[in-house]
Amino acid sequence: MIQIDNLFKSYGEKQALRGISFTIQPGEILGFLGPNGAGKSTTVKILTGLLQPDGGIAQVANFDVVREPIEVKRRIGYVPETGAIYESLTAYEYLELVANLQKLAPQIYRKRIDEFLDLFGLADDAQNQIAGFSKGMRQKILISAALLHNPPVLLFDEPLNGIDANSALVFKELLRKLSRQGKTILFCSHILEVVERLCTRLVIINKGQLAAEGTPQAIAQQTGAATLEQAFSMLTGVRDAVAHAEEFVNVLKTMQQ
Amino acid sequence: MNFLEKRGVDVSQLRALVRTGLRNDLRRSRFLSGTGRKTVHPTRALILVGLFSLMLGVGFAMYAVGARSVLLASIISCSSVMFIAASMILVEYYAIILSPDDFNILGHLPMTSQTYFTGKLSLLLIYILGFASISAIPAAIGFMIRSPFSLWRGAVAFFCMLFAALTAAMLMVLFYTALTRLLPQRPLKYIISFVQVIASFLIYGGYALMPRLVPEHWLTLAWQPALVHLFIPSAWFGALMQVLLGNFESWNLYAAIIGVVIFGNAAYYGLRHLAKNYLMIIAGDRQAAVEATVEKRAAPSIKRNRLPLLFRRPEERIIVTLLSGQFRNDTKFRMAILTIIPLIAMYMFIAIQEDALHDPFIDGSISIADSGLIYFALLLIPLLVKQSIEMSDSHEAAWIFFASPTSLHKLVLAAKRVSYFYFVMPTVVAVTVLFAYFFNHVAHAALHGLTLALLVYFAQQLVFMLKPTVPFSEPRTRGRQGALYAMAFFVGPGAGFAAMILIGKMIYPYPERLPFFYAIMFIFILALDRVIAWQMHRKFTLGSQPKGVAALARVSLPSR
Repeated sequence: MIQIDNLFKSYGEKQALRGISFTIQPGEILGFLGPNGAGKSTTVKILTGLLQPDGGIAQVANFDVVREPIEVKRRIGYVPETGAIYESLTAYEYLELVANLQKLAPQIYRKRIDEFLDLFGLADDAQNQIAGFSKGMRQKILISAALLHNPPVLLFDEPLNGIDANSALVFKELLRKLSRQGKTILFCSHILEVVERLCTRLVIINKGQLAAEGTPQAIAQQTGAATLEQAFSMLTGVRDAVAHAEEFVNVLKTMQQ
Repeated sequence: MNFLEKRGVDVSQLRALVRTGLRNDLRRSRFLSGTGRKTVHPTRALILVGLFSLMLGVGFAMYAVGARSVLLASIISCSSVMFIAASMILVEYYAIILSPDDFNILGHLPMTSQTYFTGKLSLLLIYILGFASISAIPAAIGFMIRSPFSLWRGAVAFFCMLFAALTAAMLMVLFYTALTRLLPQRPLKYIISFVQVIASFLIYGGYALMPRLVPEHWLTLAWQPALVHLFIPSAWFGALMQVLLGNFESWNLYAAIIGVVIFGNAAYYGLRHLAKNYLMIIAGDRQAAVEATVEKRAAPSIKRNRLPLLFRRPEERIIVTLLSGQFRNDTKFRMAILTIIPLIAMYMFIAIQEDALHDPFIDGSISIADSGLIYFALLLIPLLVKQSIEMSDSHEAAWIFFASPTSLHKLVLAAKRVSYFYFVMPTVVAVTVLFAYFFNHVAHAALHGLTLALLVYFAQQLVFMLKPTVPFSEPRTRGRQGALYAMAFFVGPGAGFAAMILIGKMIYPYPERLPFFYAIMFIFILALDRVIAWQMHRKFTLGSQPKGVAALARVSLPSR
């Protein structure tokens, strides 16, 4: 379970989070949406202990992220948006490092690493350095690392970045199965179609505040929009997309002249 | 439960961290460079630092064998290993201890702050103790074989030298890490840059001045320590060696106790206090970086860099923007450039102290030979600058040069010109101003300055010709900066210095030869510029560089 209550965070004078609150129950896949700079990554970083909140409460699996960060970190699997990874290590070595830091027994992690590499079609690349991997391959390693210790809470920040269609299909099915097992899943993505199909509930934030919460259909109904895409656009205050694109084209025309 | 576990360090996690750190540092890594993806061998840089340490050790071994006073010999040996430790931390500290890179990868994993700090510290100490050992082994052999032969003396000397290196490293780590705690996060990187320069003065200054402070004929001197010597850190460990060898004189005891107490406190304070807050420090550093970015993003107008009129070509404008941006925002780059200042300043100081700054138009090559270290250091600047502008943590962003219609050879040439104008020229001008003061002849100082400017430019041409690299396109590897400084102290541009001596002998005393000399220098430099342009054009445009879509595929995607 993830519980966020009245969370605040500022970067200097800029307020990134202005008192957002929501809860994710076990077995739920929550789609966490918002435009760039809305505060999604800040929220996820607070939940993972990478950032400290300025105010409010954030709890993961009933542990407070500020007071009990190690307990929280033991119970989460996290795929970062940045894709930060040690490139000099081989795929196997990186997963072994994560397993050791998660304090898994060798007899357990060796089997799991083999299974994950096999599942993502990376078994033949296990002993190759990550430096030579494509973006999608790196992402698969990060997803494997997040799942390796079988955590009850999963935080995915743009996990499908660079992943091919077949692997994305496997990953989405995996998420559904994991949620059925009772895992709490927070899923950040800009791909609204995926979020709409995969997530049981959505939270949309804008400028650090909660803009909407509910099922995709409920949010569309609340805003009077026909699709989630339109609802998102209305809630996050984006100008008319057609007019916006027209402005860009005009700028390019001016440059040509 | 062992000592580390009692202090919140998880030993199995620590082992995994250190193993990963070593793998990261010692493995070959591939990177983008002027000729596409290449492989870098970090071990070569480490071997160079090792050789530097070994040469120091061999030098001090000779002192250990021949010096009449064992105490003085041991103090000097301990100074050398403390210098190695301190200078390594000076050039590598930010990269190892304060870099937030690892935190981005490991920050969400269940590790205590103490484990994380100890992991980073262990990695640093492995290198430092490794290189200190390379230096300490020959010195210890020297202590062992001095008459009468004593295996125990050699072992004690080795132990004390490592202890000295460890203490120097711990004190410097504590100093820097304490700074990060005490100072506000936002201006920290700027403050650290200036602290770095001051520390460079102390370390390089101490190294350069030490031989001059030691009395002449010290090998045969029956040296007696005074109270003031208790303030010299290496004296504590020299005294410890005496105590362990059974010499319990009161000065030895006091000095040894000071050393042990300071080390104990450093270790205790480091593990107990700083380690506990280390993750917060790193997280704070990240947050400060984010805040700075957010504020820049929120700035109402786009601030344009003022480009000097001298640089009008597109490639030059690119380099000016890149260099000024990196200097403002990349602490590692700024520190690498700023560390050049103490190097020059110390040699100038020594030359002034020794009254060696005489007008070479009057005193000829003798004056140049007397103040040779200044010319030596000046001729090194191109090498130091070139190395600094090759490496970046954001080296992968160099794909933009390969994927855009920018001419790579023009870009490299622009880097040569712009870096000369920004970093080399000001140093030469500053030195010329000092020459004018000491020569008491402005015209002679100006002409000598012009000679220097041309020679240093020539040195820069050679450096770029030998290794043309697209700016900021190579990764920083462990020891590379240290290796550079090892070269700075040992190899250096001897040929350039020899040329200066020749000029002092064959040109300066004959005023009628001067116009021809400068004309030939100008023509030579212009011709070499052409040769470099042609060579780089061949290398980057006509050579192995893939073209069109193939180039994009190779550059932007990994080679798998």
